[in-house]
Amino acid sequence: MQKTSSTPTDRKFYSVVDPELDKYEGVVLFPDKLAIANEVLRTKELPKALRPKVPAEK
Amino acid sequence: MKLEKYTLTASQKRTVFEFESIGPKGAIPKIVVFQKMDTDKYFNLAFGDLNVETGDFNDLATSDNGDSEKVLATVVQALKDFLTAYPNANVYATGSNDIRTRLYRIGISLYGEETAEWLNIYGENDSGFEPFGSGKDYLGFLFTKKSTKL
Repeated sequence: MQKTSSTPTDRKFYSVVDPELDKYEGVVLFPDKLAIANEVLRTKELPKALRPKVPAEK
Repeated sequence: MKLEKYTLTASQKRTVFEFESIGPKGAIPKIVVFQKMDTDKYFNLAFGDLNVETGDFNDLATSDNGDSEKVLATVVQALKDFLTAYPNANVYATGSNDIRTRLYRIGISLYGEETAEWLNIYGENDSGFEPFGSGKDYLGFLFTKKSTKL
């Protein structure tokens, strides 16, 4: 398994890049969890700070 | 308090992370993923065991490897790296059962000191979300990065 060592630009990250993991990018590995999460967001009230800002009517 | 963590590897986009839990049951590969949700800027944090032989993932397995604190600290680190890469992202997480969600709640309380500088945490109740309180049980959690420097 090829692992790329941290470059100076990576210093803000603890993790080290392993291109082997790119094969999972964009793949839904836990579909049940994702379905639950989407349902929660659809049905529950978000914290005030995270609610979409509605433009004020003129 | 500096928490012990496992070495963490990540995909180039830093949405997939992997580490190995080391304990009496041997080395168990774990995967942490941030799955894009239907709502813009929202991601679902999911993690579980990775079976390297079959390529299957299991978020219901109980490893009993005697390292749950270190595992949770490593997952929190993955969250930190993800939010460093995507500072405007909102991350929702819940356990695969009530016991695990409760364990997450205990873990979040435990790491409060470590995460207070960089993480906003909301707890999910029956109607919505509220700022996280350490003594309360929640159904899930919502995380956002504080605007301060990591």
